[in-house]
Amino acid sequence: MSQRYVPLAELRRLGGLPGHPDVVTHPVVQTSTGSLGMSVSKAKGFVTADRLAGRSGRVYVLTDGELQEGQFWESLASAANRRMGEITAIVDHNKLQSDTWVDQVSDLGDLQAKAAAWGWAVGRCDGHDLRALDAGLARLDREAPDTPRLLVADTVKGAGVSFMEPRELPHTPRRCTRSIRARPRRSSTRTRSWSSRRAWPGAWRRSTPRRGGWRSTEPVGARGPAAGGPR
Amino acid sequence: MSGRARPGGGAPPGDEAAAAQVAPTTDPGGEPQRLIPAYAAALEEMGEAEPRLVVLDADLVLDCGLIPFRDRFPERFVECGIAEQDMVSQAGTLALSGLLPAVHSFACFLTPRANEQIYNNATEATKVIYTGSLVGLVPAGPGHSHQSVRDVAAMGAMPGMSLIEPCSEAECREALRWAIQEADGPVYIRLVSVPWPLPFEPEPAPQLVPGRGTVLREGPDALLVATGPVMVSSAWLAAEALERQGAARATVVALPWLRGIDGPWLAELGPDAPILCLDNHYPAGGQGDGVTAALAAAGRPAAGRVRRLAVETVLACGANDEVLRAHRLDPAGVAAAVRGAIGEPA
Repeated sequence: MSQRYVPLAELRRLGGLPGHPDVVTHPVVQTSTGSLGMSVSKAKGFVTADRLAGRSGRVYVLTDGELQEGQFWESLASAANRRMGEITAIVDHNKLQSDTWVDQVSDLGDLQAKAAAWGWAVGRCDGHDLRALDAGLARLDREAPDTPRLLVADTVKGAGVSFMEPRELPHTPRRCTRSIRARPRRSSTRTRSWSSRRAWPGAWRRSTPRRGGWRSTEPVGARGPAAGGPR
Repeated sequence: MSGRARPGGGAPPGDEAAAAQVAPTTDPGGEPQRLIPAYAAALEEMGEAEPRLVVLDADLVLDCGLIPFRDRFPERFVECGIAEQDMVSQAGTLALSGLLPAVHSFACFLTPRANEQIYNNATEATKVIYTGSLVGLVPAGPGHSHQSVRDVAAMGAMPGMSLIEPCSEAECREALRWAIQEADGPVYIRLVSVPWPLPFEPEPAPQLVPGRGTVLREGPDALLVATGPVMVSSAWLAAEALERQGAARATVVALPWLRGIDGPWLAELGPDAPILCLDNHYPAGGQGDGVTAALAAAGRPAAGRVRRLAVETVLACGANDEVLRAHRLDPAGVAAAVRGAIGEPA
């Protein structure tokens, strides 16, 4: 595979990388994404092609918000039927979607049980702990080599970036709050004024409180045009 | 394809009473064109010649004509189940891997439900063949859910997509051959599933020329443009009836291309005549739009003479002839529209 590094300044500029991976723009991109729900389906196409060509290969899928799309769920069963052990999906389970917390809309619930019910081997780990991630993947590979595998990686969106990490919100799930509170905070962003936050590229642009009311001094997630949002 | 009348096609010669009825029955007699079995045979044949061809199906193996291919090349057949979006995305990465996937379902499910997935594939500069069957008004018994009359609009907006609707068994084979061997991008093949008789003898070995069609009969008073066996048959029978009555002599063109139409070529066929486009589809985004756009892009004033005969309301459900009549796309309805266009009293 040829490699070509693209200066960050070309991101979202004519001739540069689009905001979502595009196979035509850059050879390192394997398939164009941005539309949600397609990941496992696309992985199955790659696996089918490999099998027809007699090639061995592994396909890794990194997935999150698309789990609310119907296509994701319709793609699971046949991967198990066809024993596509070549596929490993890692769910970046950060509990947030564009508008609010996932569990305020369509809670993913017991994701491991759901994936297992579709015939996938499942595991769970702390997504910020590389050793745990490595061990989780290795265990799944060892225990279910012929089965498609799904690893739920618990994460915090924007972890370690002071102005990105979500803070306490009126509807913050307890399990998420615990995770957030375990992390050090930088108080400077919490006291940033609205005017300066609005000038911050990618900062939260909403000027009116949401249902239940955001804490007015809190920047809630670094989204908006520059950051690209969670998709 | 020639315009030679099939024996028994059209109103019987010298039958004044029949002629006065403007148009004969929808069914001109003769062996119907069965596009699905023709497609099935062609797919198996092409599978032999093209080892990269992989066939994907969404639980319609019989209705889409896939059984011969499946039985002959089981390793290159993927049964995706009732999951069109999943099927289309798999096809996308098969194509990225250097294979030639051909995706199948009823058009009413394939083209709207998986539209975002088809578009995603189309932006990847690969070649995927999408074959939608059960298109158009008939058979009208299954009802709205299964009558695909917006698929051309849905597929016509895809970048680089060629859209073909054959009107005969031979043209069906040629459409698939062209898609596999000559197309340099994605192709949508639109297939009428219901067996339908043609009132003329179709060309046994047609050759597709991109953007152009076949002149079935000629006349200076109107130019009828249609595709698919149902609409081509209606156009031909309407022209036949009008000629027998001495009301008009019309040119009839079977134009298998739904987009990428050769405007200058078409304009020359009816330099001054009104152009009537028959669409087995809603007017928005149908072939008539493609014709108008092609004529306008060529700077031909003929663009201003295009009239649309299409499905104007939510679809009727019923027997085939009843439904075509209800939407005025039967031969009598088309003949009346031609009379209106040329200023002849009905």
